[in-house]
Amino acid sequence: MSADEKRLIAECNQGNTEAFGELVRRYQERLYHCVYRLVDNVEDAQDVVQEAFLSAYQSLDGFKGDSLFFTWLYRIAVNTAISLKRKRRALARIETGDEGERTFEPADSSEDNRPGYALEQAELERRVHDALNRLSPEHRAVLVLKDLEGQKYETMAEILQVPIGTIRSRLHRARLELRALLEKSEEAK
Amino acid sequence: MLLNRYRQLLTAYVDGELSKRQRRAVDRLLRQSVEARQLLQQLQRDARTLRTLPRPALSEDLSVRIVRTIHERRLAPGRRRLANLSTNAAWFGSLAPYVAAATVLFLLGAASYLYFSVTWTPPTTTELAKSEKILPSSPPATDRAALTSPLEKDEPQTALKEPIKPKDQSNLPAVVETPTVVHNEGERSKPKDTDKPFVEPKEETTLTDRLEMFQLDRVPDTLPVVVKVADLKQETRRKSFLEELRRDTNFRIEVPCKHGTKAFERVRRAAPTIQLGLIVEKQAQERIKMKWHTNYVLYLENVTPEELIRFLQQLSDEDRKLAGGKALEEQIDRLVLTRMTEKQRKDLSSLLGIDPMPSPPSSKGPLGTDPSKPLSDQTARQLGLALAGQGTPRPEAGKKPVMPPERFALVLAYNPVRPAPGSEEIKRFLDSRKPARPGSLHVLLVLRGS
Repeated sequence: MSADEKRLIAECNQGNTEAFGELVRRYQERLYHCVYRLVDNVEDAQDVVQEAFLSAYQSLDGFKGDSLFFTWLYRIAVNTAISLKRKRRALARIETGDEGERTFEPADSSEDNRPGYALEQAELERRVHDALNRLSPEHRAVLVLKDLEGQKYETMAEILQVPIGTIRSRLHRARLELRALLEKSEEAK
Repeated sequence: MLLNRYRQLLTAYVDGELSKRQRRAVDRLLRQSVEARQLLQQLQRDARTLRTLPRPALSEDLSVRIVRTIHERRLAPGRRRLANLSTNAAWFGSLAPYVAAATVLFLLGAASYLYFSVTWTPPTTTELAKSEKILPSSPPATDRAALTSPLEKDEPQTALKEPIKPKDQSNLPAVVETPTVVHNEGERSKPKDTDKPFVEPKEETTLTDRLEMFQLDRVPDTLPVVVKVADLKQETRRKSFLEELRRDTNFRIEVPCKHGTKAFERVRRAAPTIQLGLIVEKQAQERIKMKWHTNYVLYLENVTPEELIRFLQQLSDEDRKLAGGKALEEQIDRLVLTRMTEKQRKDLSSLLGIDPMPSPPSSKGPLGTDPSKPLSDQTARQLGLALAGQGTPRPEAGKKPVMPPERFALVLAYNPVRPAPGSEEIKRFLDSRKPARPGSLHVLLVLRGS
């Protein structure tokens, strides 16, 4: 953790909200990218990020600096996003009577099909995006943290608060499940 | 088909988290197996595509909003832990009297049991006889004769009836003999008593109500009621729902819907049916404007069960109208009615800053106004506008007048955004409250989007 970050945290603990505003500005984009891929919805992602920052602010005096501030922040946000997603999945199951056949929001294919992307690549991206949305929140979280955020097993274990072995096996299952979903969509094409 | 342990190695290879030894094993595997090579290529391609998924930019700087919320909610570092601690303390505090009462009862019970188990000895037959004389439940012979129905006297005794005392008792064991001493001397001298069915005193006492421990009693019915909103048009459904609403005054109605904001539009249109105005909290306003997926909660009070049903019927009508005949566009299907719990009431109280139940006391003035109370800000504003000629316009001839709201409901963004207590809208709502009409309800109506 940098000295500047330490100073900002100390100022926050003394009630300086502007210092916290500075920390928010530093990390909001990065956190938002990660959370967006977990909840797949702009509004929910913004809400989760906001709630994560607010929770972090309230628990800031308990942050001892054993891990990076951002890892700590990640942990709060990812867990908030996973529980939100779990709740939504439970409701969807009640409503549709099946599991994962329906997504909450249709995938915004227009974004993926913007000019500059090869048609095939865009199609693949759309299918990966859809498949990712159909994974369980836990599997989605490990894939996002690994592939999109480039985190190591060790950091992921810290963020998700599970042993490294669990991360390894979750990633293994998540990759194979993603592959199976993609194969299914290729066949359906 | 590749063995699972090879597939595990391949996924870990994609993750870049293999030891040197494992890496060599994978290299060997890839040289030998076409299937392994294909799977690895596919897994690597999936991971690459995941990495290249577009990253949407954050549409606004959240720092402003977050800092503002910190000020509004008066948050501070360390407050969460304190809040948790105080919640735990409050939780224990609320249970403490029950725990104490239960402990005292248990100790009393245990002490009684120990005392009586040590001091009690079974009574002898003579003691029993003596005590029987003063038993209040053992009526005198004449009364007993009156209690025995003529039918019993005339009917032959069946196995189910009480056994007749045998005339010859000399061959019977002493235990069976004991009941003969329960009658007093006068009774014994009467020959007709010997023919009556014998009723054991012990049985008689155990069947009396006053000694029963767990008597049957009516338990309040608090199970949730699920109703299809469109069915409230049917007479029978409406009546049974009305009956439910009359059982209590504080309810929570959960309305699952596809899109909370779209469902709210239906609520907005249905509200004038019962002259209900809506005061929408700032965060809810923003979300409605942006048409975001949001759950809303409406707190309405001073509404009678009949009005509530009328409102729900209109809600169903508006839903159908806005859906334009497309079933998929319909937002509302069923509702779940439950009693408002004490916790929900407390949450509402902490949000409003006062306990809304019971409603404000009736005003003393003849027109339902309290002349001693100063004008509310809202009324003063309305009065000012009216005096300046900018008040509610008079209805045009031939047109149905738009009735001003008689009561207001407070609309809050329910989840995930928590409203700030003491906001301007909450103050306005509190300001607009009127004394409760008899039989009116307090309702928390939750529009929950999927």
